[in-house]
Amino acid sequence: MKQWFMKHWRFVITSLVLIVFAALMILPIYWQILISVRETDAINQVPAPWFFTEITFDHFRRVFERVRVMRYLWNTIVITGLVIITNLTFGSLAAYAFAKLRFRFRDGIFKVLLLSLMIPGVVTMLPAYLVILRFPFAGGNNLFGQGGSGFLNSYAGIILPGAITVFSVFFLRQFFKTIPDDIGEAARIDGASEFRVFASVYLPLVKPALITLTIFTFQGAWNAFLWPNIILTPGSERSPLTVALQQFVAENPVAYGPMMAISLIMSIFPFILFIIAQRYFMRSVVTTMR
Amino acid sequence: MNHQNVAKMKRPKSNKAGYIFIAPAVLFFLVFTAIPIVVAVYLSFTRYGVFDAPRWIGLRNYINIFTVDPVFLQSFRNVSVYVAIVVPSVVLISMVVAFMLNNRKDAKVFRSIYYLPALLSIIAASAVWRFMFDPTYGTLNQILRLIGMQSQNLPQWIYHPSTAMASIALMSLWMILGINIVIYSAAVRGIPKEVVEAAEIDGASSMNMFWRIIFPLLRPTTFFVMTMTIIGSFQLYDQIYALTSGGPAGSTTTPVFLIYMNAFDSFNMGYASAQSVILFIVIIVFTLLSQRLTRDDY
Repeated sequence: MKQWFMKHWRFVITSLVLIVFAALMILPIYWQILISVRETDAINQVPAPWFFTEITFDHFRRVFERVRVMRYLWNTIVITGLVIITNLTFGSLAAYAFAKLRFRFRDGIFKVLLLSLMIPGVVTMLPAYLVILRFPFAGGNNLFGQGGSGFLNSYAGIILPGAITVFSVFFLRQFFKTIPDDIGEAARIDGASEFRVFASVYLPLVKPALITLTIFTFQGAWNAFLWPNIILTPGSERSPLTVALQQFVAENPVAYGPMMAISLIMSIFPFILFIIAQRYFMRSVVTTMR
Repeated sequence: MNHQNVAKMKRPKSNKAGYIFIAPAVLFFLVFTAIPIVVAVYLSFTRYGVFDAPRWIGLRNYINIFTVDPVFLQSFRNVSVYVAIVVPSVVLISMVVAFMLNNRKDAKVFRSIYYLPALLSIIAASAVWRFMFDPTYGTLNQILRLIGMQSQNLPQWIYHPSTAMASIALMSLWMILGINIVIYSAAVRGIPKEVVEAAEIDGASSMNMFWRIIFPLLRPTTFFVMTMTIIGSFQLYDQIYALTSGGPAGSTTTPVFLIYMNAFDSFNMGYASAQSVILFIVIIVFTLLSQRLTRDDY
């Protein structure tokens, strides 16, 4: 035993450090689950027990009945789904053209797009709000954007600014670039349209990149708060879960039970996606470096 | 002439299709990025409250930001408190953990566990940490009580000016460590085996190996992580809105939170635009700096 330890002490100590660190990282999530199934009286107990005592699902029942979590969850799903679809569709179209088609001003246009990647979202936030507010013919507006409220308080207002991001185009272009040019030529000679060449020859070859971009876009849209909170009126029917949870917290600052229940419901989807597509999550992190 | 014709025959429809393919992306770029930037710069020279037309006031907003109104500069000071805590901690902890995980069979399991907090939205995480920080019922003070700290000495976390920003930093650290461990793990894997083996043959201890070999070789990654974290911290918002609303006593007011309040709470769109233009310049400086440092080093 002693001999074994002398030989492996380094491994044992690093293992211990890694396990303690893992426990610390999980601790808040453990308490999140613990509180979500604990009676309110027990939550307000000092010192609070560190283990599961009498388990109750009252908080979950309450947030489904009174906070209408299903409604907000549905909003989040719709918004996230649409943002993913538009980014993948139009992002890959543009990315393919920038990587594989030749036309005038191609590289110039791309350089301008690339420069805009350095611009932080805060700078465009205020004017983008005005664009949404003054959008012609939307929400009672006339041609000049006067008279109505544009896309304020609508799905469109939440989705449009992030519907086709430069990042998506830039990210996918890198992958299209790695595919040889002559692959498409055969199809072209057979008389396939440019769209067909794109959709049935090139697109299937960048599937891993599309999945990684889906993960990226999912995380951004699912967790978005600042923008939807600006676009929506307080208590809006179209609030995503983030906005609804924050609203609930503002109204009930110490209702920890329901708070944990909502935040758990919100986190389950990313957790499941992470389990299914872990590889792509890790890849998405590393690709941010390039 | 002849040459051009050959090229045209090879790809008859390329030209037109290209424009059609990029049209939606370029249109959205123009409407939601390019035009807004021009508008933001224009508005920064005006007084504008959404309901009336913008009125040109020249450099007045910029002058006020640096002379009359101390809050904007204060918000950068607040961010620097956050940066001073988060940046060194992120670099050191992620690097050491990545180093420890290297060549372990169970590395993947640990990395997944460390990544879990990053999956939560900041709003959900803030709800969780609102409980963690609760001075009476919260887990953090429970632990401090267990260690034997007296009730009157327990910290108030997000509810006291002296600890609020540090508390926000603690929560952010919890959320971003996993991502940075993944980044460092990839970098550590990229270190040539021969370098490490040579050092082992020369009898270098783990400590020596870490400080003399791993740490210097990971410098480009460290620069990347540092500048990314700093740039992110300038844009700190969600957790501020959710946990402290910039308080107590303005101790957690960040530039973006201030811009949001000016624009959408008091409807000083012009003033808020000027602040966002300044923030933009600060962030661009850091971005260019990071590109310089990361590229030149290797």
